[in-house]
Amino acid sequence: MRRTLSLAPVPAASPLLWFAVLGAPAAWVVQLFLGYWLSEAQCSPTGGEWGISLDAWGIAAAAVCEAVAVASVLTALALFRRTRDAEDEGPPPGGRTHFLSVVGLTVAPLFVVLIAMTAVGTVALSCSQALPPAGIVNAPGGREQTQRQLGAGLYAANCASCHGFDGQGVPEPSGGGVGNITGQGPPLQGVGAIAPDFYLRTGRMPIGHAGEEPERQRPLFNDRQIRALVSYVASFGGGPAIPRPRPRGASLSEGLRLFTDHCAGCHQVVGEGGYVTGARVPVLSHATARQIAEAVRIGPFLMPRFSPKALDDRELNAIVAYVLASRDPVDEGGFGLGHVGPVPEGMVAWFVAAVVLVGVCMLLGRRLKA
Amino acid sequence: MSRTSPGPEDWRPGRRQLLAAALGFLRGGGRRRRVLPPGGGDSGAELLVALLLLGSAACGAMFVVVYALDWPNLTQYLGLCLGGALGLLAAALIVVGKRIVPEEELEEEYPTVHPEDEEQVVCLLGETGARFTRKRLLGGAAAAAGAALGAALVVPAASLGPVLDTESYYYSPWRRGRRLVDEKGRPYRADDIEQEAFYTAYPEGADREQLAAPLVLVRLYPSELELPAGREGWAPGGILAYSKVCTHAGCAVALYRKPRFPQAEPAPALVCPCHYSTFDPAEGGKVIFGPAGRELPQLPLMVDAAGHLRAAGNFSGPVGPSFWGVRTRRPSA
Amino acid sequence: MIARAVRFLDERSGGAPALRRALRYAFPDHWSFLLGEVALYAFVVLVATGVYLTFFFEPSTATTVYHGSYAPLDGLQMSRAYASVVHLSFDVKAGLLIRQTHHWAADVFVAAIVLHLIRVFFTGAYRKPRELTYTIGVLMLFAALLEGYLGYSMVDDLLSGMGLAIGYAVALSIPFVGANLALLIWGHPYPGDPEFWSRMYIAHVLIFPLLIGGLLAAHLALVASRHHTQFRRKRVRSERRLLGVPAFPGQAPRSLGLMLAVAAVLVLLGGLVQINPIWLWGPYHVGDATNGAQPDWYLGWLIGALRLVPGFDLVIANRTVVPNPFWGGALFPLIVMAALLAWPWLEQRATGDRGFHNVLDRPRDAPVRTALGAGFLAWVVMIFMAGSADRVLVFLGIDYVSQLWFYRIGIWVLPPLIALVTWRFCRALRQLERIEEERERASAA
Repeated sequence: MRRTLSLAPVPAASPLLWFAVLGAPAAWVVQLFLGYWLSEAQCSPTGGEWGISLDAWGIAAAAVCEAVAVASVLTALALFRRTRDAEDEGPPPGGRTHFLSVVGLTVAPLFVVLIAMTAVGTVALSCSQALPPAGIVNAPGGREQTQRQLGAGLYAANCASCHGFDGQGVPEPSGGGVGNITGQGPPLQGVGAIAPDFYLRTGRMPIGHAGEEPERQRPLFNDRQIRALVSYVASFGGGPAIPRPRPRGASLSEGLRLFTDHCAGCHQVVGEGGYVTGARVPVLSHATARQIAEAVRIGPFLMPRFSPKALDDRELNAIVAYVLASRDPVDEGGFGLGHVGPVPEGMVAWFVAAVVLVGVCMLLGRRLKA
Repeated sequence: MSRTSPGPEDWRPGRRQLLAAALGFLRGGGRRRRVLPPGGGDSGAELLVALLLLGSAACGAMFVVVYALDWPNLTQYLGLCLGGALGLLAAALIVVGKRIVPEEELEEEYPTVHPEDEEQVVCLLGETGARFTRKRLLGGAAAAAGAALGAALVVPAASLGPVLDTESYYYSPWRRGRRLVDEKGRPYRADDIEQEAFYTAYPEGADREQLAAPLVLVRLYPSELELPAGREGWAPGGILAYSKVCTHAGCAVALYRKPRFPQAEPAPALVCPCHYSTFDPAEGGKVIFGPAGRELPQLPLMVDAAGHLRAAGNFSGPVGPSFWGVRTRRPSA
Repeated sequence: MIARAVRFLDERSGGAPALRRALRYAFPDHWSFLLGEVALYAFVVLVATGVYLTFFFEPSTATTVYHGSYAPLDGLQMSRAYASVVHLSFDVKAGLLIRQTHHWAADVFVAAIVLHLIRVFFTGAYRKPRELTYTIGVLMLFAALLEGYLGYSMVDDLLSGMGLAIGYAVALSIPFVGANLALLIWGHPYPGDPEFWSRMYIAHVLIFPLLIGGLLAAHLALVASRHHTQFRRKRVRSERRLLGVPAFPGQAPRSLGLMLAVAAVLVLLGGLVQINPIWLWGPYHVGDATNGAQPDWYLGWLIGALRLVPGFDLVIANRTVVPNPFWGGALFPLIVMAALLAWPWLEQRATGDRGFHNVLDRPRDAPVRTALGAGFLAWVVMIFMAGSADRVLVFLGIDYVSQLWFYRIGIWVLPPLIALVTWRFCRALRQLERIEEERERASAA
């Protein structure tokens, strides 16, 4: 009654076959990572100085990945053709190679399309491309003009259609601005130097149209232009000066408490950004100490504003210290997964742990054969 | 050996074989029938297993060493050592399982039903039951005993909480005249409260870790307010106080959306970050987005002679998530 | 030497026949039959690491001021529960490794159960005579969800406090009994009586582990008594004969190897990939909240449902009858559980098939079941994905409200579509096979 069988060994995986099945998805993943890194290099405050051209590199990376994906489609096609002839001899449904080549043929073209779409997305939506309709207009005049002349020229050319020529604001949409843009925007009289410094240095201004969420971008003006614009806007009168936070030595635990109280509801407790009905809350990992302090004091877009009466300078320093520390928090447990909690953790549980363990199961158990 | 399921029998020793085996055992060995097919001696696999086991041993020893040291990133080194030891041991066993152990398959029968045993059980129960003649009486009495004893055993669970008295849901530490204090216990003055900021306030001298304690304070222009009828004078100088606890699922309403340029941007709103229920502070906490089904309770305010903010009564409605029968009745202290 | 040991045991226990049968118990060989074992071994890791954690955890809401080695929390007020976990993470050698391994094991435990359930469903392994095994398995899944929720809720960090508040709201929202039930569990309106922490603790470390362990024992005993199912192979001739690898020596090293592999993956993750860094979230207070708060993945489907339900309470005569969280937080999981539990009996009634089934279907062999299962799975998975819409907005910039409406419509449109496509696909596969068989027969003749 005893039966002894030898279990058929799992056929050795041909690298070509695996390339046909997994080549295109892998190319897409590589492209995603490259795209992320490139936009990081382009859009972050430190990366902006590296002078990397996102478009050129992004297109090049996309082209390489696309080529790999197309190659995997062709491989799958070749395998499909070769096994189709052999199919009549083999058992139905035509053997593993045939089946996997069909899978490759289904999957790979999908990723060819996906890579193309990703490429269009990264180039079309990249930070350097998100220009206002008119772009920025450099004021006439050479380097010899005074700061005030430069500021006035840039202001008239780039800001006045929405904020008014004297910074009185444009409460209702009205045409007739520079370049016939329909402009609308808040008054700048009394905002001081702090608001233009924040909006221009984080690349949030100029924006496309009023009401649109200003998002962090690579600043479109250079440092000299920004200084000129800031002093020009400040000259409309009044307003606070640019804060000079001193986060060194401030208490991190007080910072955490204040941040939880005032900021974490929107920005997430480690500053990883979030959602408030109607707007996307920025991630704080790129903000400098001065920009953090400025944002607290002016409350850009939908953010509340905290005056020195609500948060004194010592408390502000603690918040700034906490935000700066939370860029690189204590990852005692290892790789931090972006510090946003269970969403990436669940992805690791499924896409790393479960995949590895299913792989072990497949190694251990025989797979179903027709 | 059961009758209906032969089980995975490989060899069935008869009496004679048993005797022979016993004799052989007594004589110190001798020839026994094999269970497994002969074979073995895959020296390559054995070497691999040995290497994996030694690697596992090395990792295990490393764990002990690393534990004794006090390095930074200790958790990572410990994890690598222990995970490595386990992983290499797993690999060794997998190699044993796939290369050394004989690959055999047994064939056996699936167990099925046991009609004779079933019949015995049915008879046993039926015959025992037949001895009882007054079935209805006994059944009723047994049911009564079971129910009463069950109730007696379950009732102490009621001590876990005041089950029937749900009045505590309407409790609030706020009452007329209670001052609003900040996180550090300093009373808020009316002129501390600025437009465009938001503040968290607590009842002075009360426990803060209860749903009805925390408030969110904002200030709007009195002309912007469209509070429901009957709330006149609740917002002195445009200062509004709402419960900081969402009426949907009890999270803290810790977001204040305050537009910089109201003409083109969304109106001011209080938002809960759990499911993004959004409340309009200008309209008495009306829900304007999200899953909440009830407005955010508002607390009437007044300003005392010293300029401090005080509660002028209790909330406009029950605080926190809703429950069966919750009414718009105002909570009490 | 071995003979003497075996004799020693047999003389004292009479266990030799049982042992021999156990060693030669036959396991049908297929990789997907090992998924349940992965869950089992994750549970073993959970128990082992959990016992270690109890030596350090303090289930108390009494407040304390932290002065440990993690500076950014220095001087903050927190509960002793939270402080003890921060202490465990920073000042107990190997404490963080064990804690993270425990948490990863919980995530993987539920994932493995779900994979196992999917395998069992789509191959029809739950059919007679294994309906009870299946029922117990489904109950274990839901016990595991509650156990996991209790586990991360006990820590009293900012995320767990928000999660508990939501759990409280869901309990409170149950019609008729919600208010009383919540008081029974919490002892007092949220955040509850200090005793609530003892209740949560004992439930997490004793009651639920015992419950899951007991169900697990029953599950395994039933599996062993009815034996494993098997796939149809050339040598599997009938429903009545089973072909499999013996427990010893064939299956034992593989199974043990799998256990160690599960432990290795979990320990490596525990050492290298940070999970639930509670020191970054900070302590919880009733008035605090953070954006993007999410439950562990296995409760993500509930937060998705809570967000998708439109904002309304059922109100009659100015009294709330059914508060909103009930729909997504209580009714939805109950529907899913009821559907899973009822399915074997519904299928029996619909097909009229009350025979024994020891040979598995391939998914294509039962197109209707596969289609319905795929549609149902798609429904739950889409609701699950809706739970991360806010994170998708932050990462990808897709508008939150548009996503919400996409899901609100999509969960009713896409699952039937997926079911239909799956059904067609199964039928096409079977037709292909039939053609192949005929061709083979023709060429053989």
